[in-house]
Amino acid sequence: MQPARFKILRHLRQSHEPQFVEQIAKAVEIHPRLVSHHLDVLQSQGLVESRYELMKAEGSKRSVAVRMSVATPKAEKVLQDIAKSVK
Amino acid sequence: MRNFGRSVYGTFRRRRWLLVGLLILCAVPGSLLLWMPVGIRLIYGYVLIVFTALTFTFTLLPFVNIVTLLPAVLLDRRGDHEKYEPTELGNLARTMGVKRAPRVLLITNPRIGPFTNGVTNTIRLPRTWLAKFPHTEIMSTLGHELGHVRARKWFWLDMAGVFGFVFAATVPLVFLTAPIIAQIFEVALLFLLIPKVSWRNEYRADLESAKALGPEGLISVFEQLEAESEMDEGSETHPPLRARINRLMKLLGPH
Repeated sequence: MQPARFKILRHLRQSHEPQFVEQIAKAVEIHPRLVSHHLDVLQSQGLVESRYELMKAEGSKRSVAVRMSVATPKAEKVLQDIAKSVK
Repeated sequence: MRNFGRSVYGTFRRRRWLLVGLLILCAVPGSLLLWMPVGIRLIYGYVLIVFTALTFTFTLLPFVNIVTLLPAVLLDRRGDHEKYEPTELGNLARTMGVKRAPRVLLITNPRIGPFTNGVTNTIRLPRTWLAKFPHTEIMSTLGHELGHVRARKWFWLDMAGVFGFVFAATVPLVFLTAPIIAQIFEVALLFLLIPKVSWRNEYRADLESAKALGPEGLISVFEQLEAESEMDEGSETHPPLRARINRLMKLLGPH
């Protein structure tokens, strides 16, 4: 698996709540645009589920739509398989 | 995206140092050749012969790898190939300013990476890449290859510049030393500079792809290739993957 996608998937599995792109980017130290790209790929492979939620932006009255992502059960299995193959 | 930097012929960096050594050997003692005593001149001649043989053996052998392209080219002529026709290719070619979209042919040779054949207007894509990379990243790779098609004229302009520079740099040596030494200097300088043109060509193709599709796809492909490779120091034809990633990262904007 692509190293950055592996990092993102592992982070999503470890975090119990859905994460938005900036949160993931900070945690895995990858540029948010790259995180977004990797989330698209992971979603197309069925390893991540994403939905858009309205959130209040800091210092603004407006709400913005943010992408909240969470790892699917399939991701758990893939990560376990990778861990086994590494061992 | 071919890469044959690591091989039995030594590392790319070592091959370059050999060329630099040969250039110095030709230029510095070579320009004093007419003033050398006969004995020293003989010793210098023997050293130069050995060093030239050594340098060109190690420098030329990686180019023999180009022979690996032949099966793919022959398959193309026989028609034993499978076309890969993503629906977005025509639009991508138009966006990038390529008038006639090249055909994309799938190849099975695992030693060959994607490459463009300008003569037959075809892009060869390894079948294994389709399984390894998602569709968006395959499109970025095709964007890179289309970038080569688009920037072909700049490549030949750079090559013309290098040939002109090498010729100009050799002229003074022609008057100072034996013609054969000037010729060795000329060829060595050419071998030293051609990779730079090729690297520029690769950076340019990366940029063209990033302008059309964004840099994310290519960065992801390069990161995966980097993770798979044991050493990344570039080759005669391709710059190091890390350098390419860093250039593309700048296009992403501040973190």
